[in-house]
This record gives sequence, structure tokens and C-alpha cells, in this order.
Amino acid sequence: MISVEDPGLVIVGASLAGLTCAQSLRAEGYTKKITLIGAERHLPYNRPPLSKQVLAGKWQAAQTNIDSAEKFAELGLDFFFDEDAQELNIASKEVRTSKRTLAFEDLIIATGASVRRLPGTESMSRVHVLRTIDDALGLREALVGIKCAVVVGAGVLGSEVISALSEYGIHATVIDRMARPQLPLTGGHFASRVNDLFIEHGVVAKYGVEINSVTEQETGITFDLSDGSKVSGEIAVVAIGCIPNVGFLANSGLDISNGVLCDSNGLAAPHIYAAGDVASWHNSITGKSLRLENQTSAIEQGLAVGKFIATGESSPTTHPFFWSEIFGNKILMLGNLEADIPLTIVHGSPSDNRFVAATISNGVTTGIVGWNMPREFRQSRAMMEA
Amino acid sequence: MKIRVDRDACIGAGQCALVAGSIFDQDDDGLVVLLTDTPSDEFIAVARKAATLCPAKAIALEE
Ligand SMILES: Cc1cc2nc3c(=O)[nH]c(=O)nc-3n(C[C@H](O)[C@H](O)[C@H](O)COP(=O)(O)OP(=O)(O)OC[C@H]3O[C@@H](n4cnc5c(N)ncnc54)[C@H](O)[C@@H]3O)c2cc1C
Ligand code: SF4
Repeated sequence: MISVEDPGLVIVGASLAGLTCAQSLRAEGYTKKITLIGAERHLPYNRPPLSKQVLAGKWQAAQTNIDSAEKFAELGLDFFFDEDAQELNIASKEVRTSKRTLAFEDLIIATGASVRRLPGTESMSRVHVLRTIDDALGLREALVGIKCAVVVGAGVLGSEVISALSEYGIHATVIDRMARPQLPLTGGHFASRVNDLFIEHGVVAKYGVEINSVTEQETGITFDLSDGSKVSGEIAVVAIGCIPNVGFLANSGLDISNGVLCDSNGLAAPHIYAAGDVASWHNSITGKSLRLENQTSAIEQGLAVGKFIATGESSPTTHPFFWSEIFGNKILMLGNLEADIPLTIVHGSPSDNRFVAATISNGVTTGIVGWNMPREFRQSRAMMEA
Repeated sequence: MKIRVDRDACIGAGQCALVAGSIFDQDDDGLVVLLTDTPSDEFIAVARKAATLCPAKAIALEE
């Protein structure tokens, strides 16, 4: 009998979701070959500290590594970095990369998302984005000695960048086409709280405006806005969201209209799975497909896919969770706050700047937020399980 | 096995205390507090689970 080497499993994307898949597969007893391909030149690292500890200058780059090199080696992976997948052929069960063609028995897509850039600014050296460790180190360096900056996007990342600027004493102007700041999953309930923080810290906000044009000068950058005004800074940071990395799947036949569409086990097609920011999983709590961009989803989906492939067992659906820290306020969010339901205060009080709040619809708690009250937030999580 | 926690990284999510309450607690600021850094064998699996689930990757296990 001719023996053909078992191609094993290929994971595309070597960040939180890809690494967690590999950890989970091994923990669940998967002994076959695992090949991990990553486009970056680094061991898997955490992105949340990039806009927090790293930007603030409190952490060195190495502190963001998820696993030590030894721990990573213990997983027994074939790891190829600085290599990107370019095409998937499901019929022949092969993925072509920038350096080779790999056969697989099972494939996990964990390619995450890339920053959305402001058209026309791609090559401007004074315009920064923040997704990778290299972006963070470049931005940190650019902050040295400057006095004013423009932030495009008043979402959670934009708000974290503005907080960091304020710690450096850099004056910030924020531009957003929406009428107010946005935090994910909070149904708009925290827009005015975040805006109050901006005002308190001297941030100038331009909401509800479009950017007509951007020009880079020798000493700065200027935005022409749809209300006729101009806004300038020495640098700009663009934080206008992310786009799932599905380019290499264009001819694969998978549904990639909003990331990779998957069932509630992360299965996109037979033997093809996706996890993390790139994946849109069917959520059996809401009955909808949901693409989430946060750490906990990447971890939980990675764990679930690993377990499903190794054991055939499904994992329960969980509520989305994210956190942020804005001007020193620790925000924790579980579930989904509904826009049209008033907040119920569960602990503390908003006027003391410490509280836990929830939206409760027909006796069902749909979302909980902890604002500077982590311990009580954790205790309140039980409300969501009721 | 020894557990280390990085309170600089901890964001007070409380996942650790939820899945392994005999090893992890939170102080009033929500930051992780180790109740023991050398759990007995029966708790190693939950300690590992807590380390994987920690969204801030603030828990490290040394075998
Ligand atoms: C600055 C910043 C702050 C954040 N803060 C928070 C926070 O406070 N809380 C929170 O919950 N979440 C936060 N997030 C989100 C969180 O980091 C992401 O949800 C998480 O990184 C998702 O992990 P992932 O592995 O799915 O994707 P990614 O981390 O995007 O990783 C995907 C990897 O795949 C690689 N890749 C892409 N295409 C290919 C290809 N064709 N071939 C090979 N490799 C490829 C990429 O280079 C990348 O390394 C933050 C993100 C950023 C950028
Ligand atoms: S799970 Fe991690 S971030 Fe959350 S309290 Fe525990 S150590 Fe801190």
C-alpha cells in the first residue's frame, strides 16, 4: 500500500484566533500536523495594548506577545511567518501562498481584518493608522514633540487614541461623519458620556461632517470638511474601522459578503472553518449572523473550532464582550445594549462615575455595561444567564 | 505548576474568577488577585482554561 503523508490541518492567520485554534486543537488531543501561516513577521501578539499601554509608552513591543517563544514551540506547529495565503481551492483542498502550495485535510481561516484607510491618504507619511505593532511603534514615535493632532473617527479606537494624545498633552481635534461618538454594542447609550469626556479634556469635535479633501504640507496635514471649515494638525490618525481579510477567498465560492459566513460551529463549507475578526458566525441567541471584532470572540471561536475539529463536539453560543479604557475610565460590556430601551442602573450611580447598567427587555437582560465597576460587573453577569 | 498574573495587563474582565474562582479573585479595582500560585493537580485544567480565556492574556502558566 502506498502511504501518502497526511496533510493535516492548515491555519491561515497567525494572530489571536489562529493561535487559539492551535492551542485548543492540541488541548483537545489533536495529534496530526498543524501548519500555521502568518503574513506578519512577528510571533502572535495582542492588539488591545497597542492603543493603550504601547501608545502610552508604558510597554515595550515584546510585552504584547501572547505566548513566550518556548510556549509557542511546545504546540509543535509548522510555523511560516511573513507568508500570505493568496488563493484557496476548495475542490482540490489546497491553499496557495506567496511561497508554496499546501494541501490540507481541514483549513481554518483566521485572517482577521485590516484597517480601512481614508482614500487618497494611503501614501501620506503624516497620516497614521493603528492595527499592527509596527503601526503602534511608528505612531508613538510620531507623537514625540508634537502639539496637535487630528483623529478621524470617534469610535472606540479613535477615543482610545484621543485619550493617549491627551496624556501626552497633545491637543486633539476629532472628525466623524456620525452625529456623536460610538462605542460598539452599546446602542448609543454612552455617546454623550464619551462626548463629555472629550469636552472636559479640551478635545474639539466635528461631528456630522464629510471630508472633502486632505492635503499634506511640510509641517502638517489639513482636512477640508463639508461644512466649509478646515481642520489641521501636525499628524492625523485615521480610525474608521476595519475590513475583513478575505481577498484570497475571492474565487473560492465561499460567501464572503461580510467576512466568511459560518454556521454556529464556525463551519463555512465541509472541512473549511473560520474564526475571529474575519468570521461571521451564526449566533443561536440572536438568530442572526454576527461578525464581531473583539478579543473574546476570537478566543471563544478559536476554542470552539479547535474542539469541534478534534472531538466533533459543539460549544455553547456566548454573548459578545468587549472592554475599553477611555480617559482612565474602565469600560466593560457584555451582550448588546438596545438603543430604544432606557438603561437600568444595577449598581453604583452614573453621577459618581461608577456604575453597572443594563437594558432589560420583557424581563430579559440583553446587555450589561460596567463603568469603573469591574467587580460588580462580573457579579452582574449572572443576569444575562437568567 | 506555577501561575503568574500580570496586573499591568489585567483589565478586570473577571473571566478568570468566573471559571476558576478557587484560584483567582478580583480586588476592588477589578484587578486579578491570585488566591494561590501553585494550584493542586485537580485545578490545573481550570487554571489553563482561565489563562486561555483571559482576554488581556494576563495569566501565564509555568509547567
Ligand atoms: C489598536 C487595537 C486595539 C484593540 N483593542 C481591543 C480591546 O480593547 N478589546 C477587544 O476586545 N478587542 C480589541 N481590539 C480587537 C482585537 O485585537 C481583535 O478582535 C483581535 O486581534 C482579532 O484577532 P484575529 O486573530 O481574529 O485577527 P487579527 O488580529 O487581525 O489577525 C489576523 C492575522 O492574519 C494575518 N493575515 C491576514 N491575511 C492573511 C493571509 N492572506 N495570509 C496569511 N496571514 C494573513 C494578519 O497579518 C494578522 O496577523 C483591538 C484592535 C486594535 C487594532
Ligand atoms: S480574566 Fe484576565 S483580564 Fe480578566 S480579571 Fe482575570 S486576569 Fe484580569
